[in-house]
Amino acid sequence: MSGTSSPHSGLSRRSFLKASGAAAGALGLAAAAGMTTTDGWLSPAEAHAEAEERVAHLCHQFHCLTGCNLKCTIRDDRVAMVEPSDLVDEHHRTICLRGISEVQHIYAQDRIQTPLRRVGERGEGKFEQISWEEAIKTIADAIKEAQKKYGEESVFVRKSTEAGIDFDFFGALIKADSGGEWGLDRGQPNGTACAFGPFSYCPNRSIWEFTDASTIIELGHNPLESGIVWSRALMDAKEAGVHIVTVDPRFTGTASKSDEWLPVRPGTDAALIQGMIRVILDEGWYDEEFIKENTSLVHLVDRAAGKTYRSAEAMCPNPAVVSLEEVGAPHVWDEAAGEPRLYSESGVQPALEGTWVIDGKEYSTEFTLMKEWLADYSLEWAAETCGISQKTIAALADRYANNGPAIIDFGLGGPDKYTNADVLGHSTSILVAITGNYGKPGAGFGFYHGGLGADDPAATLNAWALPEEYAYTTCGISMYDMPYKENPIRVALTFGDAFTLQAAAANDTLAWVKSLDFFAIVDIYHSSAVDYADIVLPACSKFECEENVKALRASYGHVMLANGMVQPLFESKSDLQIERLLAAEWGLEHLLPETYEELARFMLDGVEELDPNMKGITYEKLLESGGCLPVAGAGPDYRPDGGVDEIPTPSGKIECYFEYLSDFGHQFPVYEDANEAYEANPLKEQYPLYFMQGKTRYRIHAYYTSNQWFQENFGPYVNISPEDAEARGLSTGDKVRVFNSRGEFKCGVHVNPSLQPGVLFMAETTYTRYYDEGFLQNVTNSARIERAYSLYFGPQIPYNDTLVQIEKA
Amino acid sequence: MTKLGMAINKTRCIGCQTCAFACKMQNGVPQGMRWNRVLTEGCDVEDGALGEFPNLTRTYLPLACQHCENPACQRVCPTGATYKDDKGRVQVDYDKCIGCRMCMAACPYNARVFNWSEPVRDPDFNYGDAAVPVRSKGVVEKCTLCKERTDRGEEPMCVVCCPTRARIFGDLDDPDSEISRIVRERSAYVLLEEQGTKPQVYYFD
Repeated sequence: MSGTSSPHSGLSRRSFLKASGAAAGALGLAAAAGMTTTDGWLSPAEAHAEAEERVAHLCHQFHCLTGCNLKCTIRDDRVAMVEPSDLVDEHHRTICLRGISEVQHIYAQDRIQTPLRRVGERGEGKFEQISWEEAIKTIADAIKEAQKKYGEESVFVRKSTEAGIDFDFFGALIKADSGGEWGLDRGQPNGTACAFGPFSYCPNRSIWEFTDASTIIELGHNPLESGIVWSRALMDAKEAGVHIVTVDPRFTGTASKSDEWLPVRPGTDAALIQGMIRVILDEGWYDEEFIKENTSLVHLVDRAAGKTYRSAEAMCPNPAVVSLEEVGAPHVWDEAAGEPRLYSESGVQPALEGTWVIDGKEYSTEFTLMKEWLADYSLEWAAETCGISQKTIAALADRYANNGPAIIDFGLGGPDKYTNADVLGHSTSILVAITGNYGKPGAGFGFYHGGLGADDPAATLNAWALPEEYAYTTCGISMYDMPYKENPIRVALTFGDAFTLQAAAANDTLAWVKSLDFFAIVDIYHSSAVDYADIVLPACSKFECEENVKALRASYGHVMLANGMVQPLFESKSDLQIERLLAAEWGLEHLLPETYEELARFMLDGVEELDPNMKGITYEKLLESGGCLPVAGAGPDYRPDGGVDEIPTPSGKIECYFEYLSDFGHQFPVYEDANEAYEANPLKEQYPLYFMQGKTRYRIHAYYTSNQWFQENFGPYVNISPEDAEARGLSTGDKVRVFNSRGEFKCGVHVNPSLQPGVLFMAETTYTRYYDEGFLQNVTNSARIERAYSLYFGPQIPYNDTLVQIEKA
Repeated sequence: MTKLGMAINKTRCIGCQTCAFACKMQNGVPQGMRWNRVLTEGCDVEDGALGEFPNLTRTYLPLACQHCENPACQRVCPTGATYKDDKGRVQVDYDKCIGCRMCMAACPYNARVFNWSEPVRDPDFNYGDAAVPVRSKGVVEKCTLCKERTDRGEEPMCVVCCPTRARIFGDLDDPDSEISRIVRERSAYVLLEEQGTKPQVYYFD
């Protein structure tokens, strides 16, 4: 820590005023931009002698992977306070600024108030108010017409994550195309899926073990701004003296709290990891016993064919993605017998390294092949590529391999959003495999958070099912590919702003959207995508419902029933009632629950017979309790103590050799540059700056854009390093134009030393109307590489794989 | 005697601004004002940094009324509107405040805000704790250490909401309280000690 940042020495009256002046300045700016009230739609609170107050509880967002239970004070049927729930134990009593500021956000000026019909051009944002009857009929007519004219496969329906969790049936009822793969957050998991199992990006051990680690590497992860409430575990670790290293091109909040910050060049994280692997192999710091016991690195590979030497008779228990075929069981070279034996035979003593000729064919262990592959990659190369010194890489390798237990916690933003993210995931998998930092207290690998609320394994709930004939379909082309590949879609209905969030290169996406016969959107707020819709339906927020109860959710060892809701604002409706209105146009509304109460009762009906831990959790008991009950046995932390003996791969071992990628030469994670964001790219002459986006505490994706409280602190602006700013004559507060061949946008700029020279950063997205022109998705990269179509989760949208130029607007 | 105060762990503070909004919500603080702010120390942009790449540091400073034992604001208040209450908190009697803003000039921590015009709330109703009095145009306001909550035996809202549990509230006159222990054992310090205001808000690393 430098002396200047210490308040002891640095906090003179003058610097103090400077610091506080910044906040005042920001507030002044917001005022100038027009601090608006809620347009007078809400009559002033009547002066009751005593206001009528009641308490409501609900499970808040899953989208930030926190699922906090919130206690809301409802006064005169308005949400007047939001605070941490008192229905959960102290451990789960969590909230962050997003939950608190719902008090404003619910009533924000961007709420869509009535159904709307487009009157201007698509994208122009001109609408007229229409009735629900007319809006629903228009949507149904457009869908039916397309189905008749082009076939059922011509209709696309997608729900954004939050909307999809609560209620998602209409698309299935009309057999709509779901848009296929999402292309989000599974870049590194594309490389870890084969190694540790498809869903291994969710760690098999608890985040609360951070304090048990000696070293934690935050790899492109900034939990201090994304899943804010989970940063408590990291701060516990920090106070416990755990050595924390953050690998990130920019000086994030997490980096600022770390013992070491390694500012890699964007998109080169895999080079850093491969440098570490190289050091560990060269120095002999690997854990030979762990490798032999728990990894595929001792399996024999036919050198000429590139295929594992497998038994045709004995099968692995779980043929999965490593070879993409029904696989036999692999062989190892048994040192005791001096011959190949099945990997699973008892008493077998596998050789780590070596090459043998068996029946005229040459076989080597994966470990030997890995060393041969890595021979091409020196520490010097790694340092030059990622921009971190050889000494630092070697020291980190030493620390990770020799000063365990160690945890690698990777983010699903940052390095995930490049075309080479699978190479990173695969590389890190190998790093973990050779050091044995997995499956024991304080050791682990994955995207650490408390666990996915939506997949909470602690609770058992019934799932509302439609008759078998009703299901989503897919034309085989994912939504992000639709602007580029011929597809049958002519009509689209989205719940939320899928088109402006879940696709890069917005000019391409929106040109395709404009070419559709019809597009309708259901949204709470006037998001960026709304302007392109023909019909707009107003949905209500989580806090509102036609009835007293709303979503039933399982979150962190609790079952939570939203209750005490306020009536939907304006003419908005709940997702359930919107879906029922749409389904009624096909005479299918009887297949849906009539109310959230019916749905919740169904979800809980008979679950205690299925799962003894659910004993006593009934609809009535939930309401009596205020809407939240703990699942028996879950305790403060339901995460299992995962080991290495339960890895869901074909061999049950950590698979390091991806045979199914041999057509691409990627059995090992051969380093490759990102698609656009790399130093030697000739495009840098024209567009010299890397453009990264990531999380801010003021958003979950674009959500909370319209929060007026947040707007006092935060609007769309690009961060630039002092060097790059000076070269372009830019100062904080200037308006800038950011551009490349895909498009441009205009907004404010902050000159911020947290950025390394050559890199721009902007918090991910904000509704278009808050920009001076365009929005950040206009410049982002939508490239896909051929290999990605073979990966478990398919191609990922490489938002950060983007070069731009910036100038004063 | 009771001397309520707070200790803030700057190592655990992640600058998330949750306390700033918890305060705004609890106390119905109008648009354009904050009783509690989280500053990025020495920077002119939020989440900025000190130093030069790659040798950077960043610290956050959560800042509100310091509830000084020797409050500069109280000394200059001509009407007695600003006072030390029986629990050692600095309070403003809004009925006595004449809007002269002497206190604002005197406060070395820039902790006070003023209702220059009719306060604008968004949403436009009185959100927050119903027990918190609504302030009118022409009065000064600031952190009350959540007077209404702490009178009921509850902790201030910023303490309750802090995601990393960086804030400790308690009685500085009770030698056995957690806050007293921290002040003793964790080299806690106050801001602008040389001003002689004797803050009851402590910081520690």
